[in-house]
Amino acid sequence: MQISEINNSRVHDLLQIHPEFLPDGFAAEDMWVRETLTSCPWVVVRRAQAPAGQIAVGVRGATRSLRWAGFFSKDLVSKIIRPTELLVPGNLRSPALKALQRVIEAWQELTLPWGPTGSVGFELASGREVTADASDLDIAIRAQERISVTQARSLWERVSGLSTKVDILIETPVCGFSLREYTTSSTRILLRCPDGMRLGEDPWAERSHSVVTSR
Amino acid sequence: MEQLKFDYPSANRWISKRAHVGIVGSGDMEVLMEPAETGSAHVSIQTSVNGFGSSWKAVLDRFFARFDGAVRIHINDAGATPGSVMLRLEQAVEVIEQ
Repeated sequence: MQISEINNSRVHDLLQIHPEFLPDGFAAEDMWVRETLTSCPWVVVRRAQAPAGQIAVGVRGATRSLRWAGFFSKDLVSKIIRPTELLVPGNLRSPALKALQRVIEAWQELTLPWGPTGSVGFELASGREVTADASDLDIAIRAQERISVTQARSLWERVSGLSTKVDILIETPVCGFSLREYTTSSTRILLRCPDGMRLGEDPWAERSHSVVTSR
Repeated sequence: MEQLKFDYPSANRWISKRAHVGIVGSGDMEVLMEPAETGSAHVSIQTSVNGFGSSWKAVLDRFFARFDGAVRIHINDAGATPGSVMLRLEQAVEVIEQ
């Protein structure tokens, strides 16, 4: 992905940064954040809205409770890798990477853009070995247009028998939501939007639309 | 993996229905809410993220400041944020109060 694409970065994209250009004020952050970025200068794009010229990013520490969320200037970014570019599981050193290989085979006919996120995406982009035996396989699928519940069930059924837990988010132009919940819930589902989470029925509906029609 | 337990003795309103909402997926959680025979509320949490006991207590205190049902709540957590914890608890209440 060209660096000019930085203005189109989206949630789950992985960014390589220039750690030597971190702002002076960054010294106030936890020691582990700076150490992590010095040894492995990769961050993940978060869903939150960022101020102009900046990107909402997350830093992955050594354990699940070590996560840092903040904003970096776009000038810090040297490379962008999208989940869709990571459909090459490499040496299959962990169950989650093996599971990705199985999902690639199971979804050969899927034409929507998709790819690994979470620890698997991070490991494939950065080369840092972060997947463990107990790691889930997180996946994001981009769906500009509506996917029916029937289509969603078909996607889920093809990967639900794997021994590794597969956690799939569908990303619409409006929000992200769990494929699993979409296939099972008869009520509202959790929608992950840039301004926070909410419960809703239609992940493709613009929020402003529901405000207008409620008047 | 960590197990947490909380009790809310003042939540003693009788509840007859049960609810099962949410999903065990990154940043989310599953909630099973059912009537408690003991006449007060009990919460048990299994979470994949260790060391957040005080955050859980803060969210649950806030929830039980408004909700007084004698329920047994089982939470299976995969790193839900405080915001999504509250959304899922409120969604479960909507189901049992229907």
